[in-house]
Amino acid sequence: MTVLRGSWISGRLGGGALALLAAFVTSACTHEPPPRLPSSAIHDRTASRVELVDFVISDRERARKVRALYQEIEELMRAAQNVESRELAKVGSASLRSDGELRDCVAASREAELAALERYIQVQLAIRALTTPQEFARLDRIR
Amino acid sequence: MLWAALSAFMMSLTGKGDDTFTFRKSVEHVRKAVMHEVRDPGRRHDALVTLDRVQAVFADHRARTAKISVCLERADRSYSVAPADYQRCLVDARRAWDRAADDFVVLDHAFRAALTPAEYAAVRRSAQR
Repeated sequence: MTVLRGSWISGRLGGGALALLAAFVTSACTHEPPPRLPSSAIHDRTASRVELVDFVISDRERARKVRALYQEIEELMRAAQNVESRELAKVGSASLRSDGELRDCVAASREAELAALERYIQVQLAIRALTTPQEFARLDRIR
Repeated sequence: MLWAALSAFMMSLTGKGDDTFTFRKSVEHVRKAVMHEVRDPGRRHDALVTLDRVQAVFADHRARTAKISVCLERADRSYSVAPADYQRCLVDARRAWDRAADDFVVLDHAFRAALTPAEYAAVRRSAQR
């Protein structure tokens, strides 16, 4: 966007600006929405697995642990989205006065998302430790 | 601020932060307010161009975060994935938000600069209706 911003000011379009402009025009023409945040995509991907773990893992104790890990992922992503909602509400409030406050809101959303993703990585590795390659592959096919 | 007009409408619709449809819808709401409230063709054009750029920045931000999603999903599919494979997905993550914040601040100033105080107040009132 720095290139794009500069091009608007100077009246010259660089290669990056053209690519972005093309992407924007394509998006506007197709009405295709921009992608959702990683936390939303992960939440959607995980939700269906929680209820189906028992069909994939026959050992009840391992199944319970894996289900708990998927539930943790759901909760992590939901919590990140809640922070993002709260920060967005702050941005829209009359009390937000400065650029710094706007940056703080974006930074809080960023940190919530990244903290959730960091923990998500640990949980994903823990799921592998509790499943066989075959069970893991079957869980992966659930969409 | 531009964002007050935008996000107040978004929150009234969904109460959720990650809703790309309502973000785009809220920008369109402000666009209609500009077309209705700003009579001067030059200032109206500048404000509308700024809103186009808001949409572009948002799409660009989400394109950057989508790369993180794709990378994570690829790692998720591998049973033998290494922690470093996952960590690579997050290497540029902070930049995705920070660049959006920088661009949004610039656009906020540009939007306010495009309009007179009276027009700005009218647009904001109209957008929040």
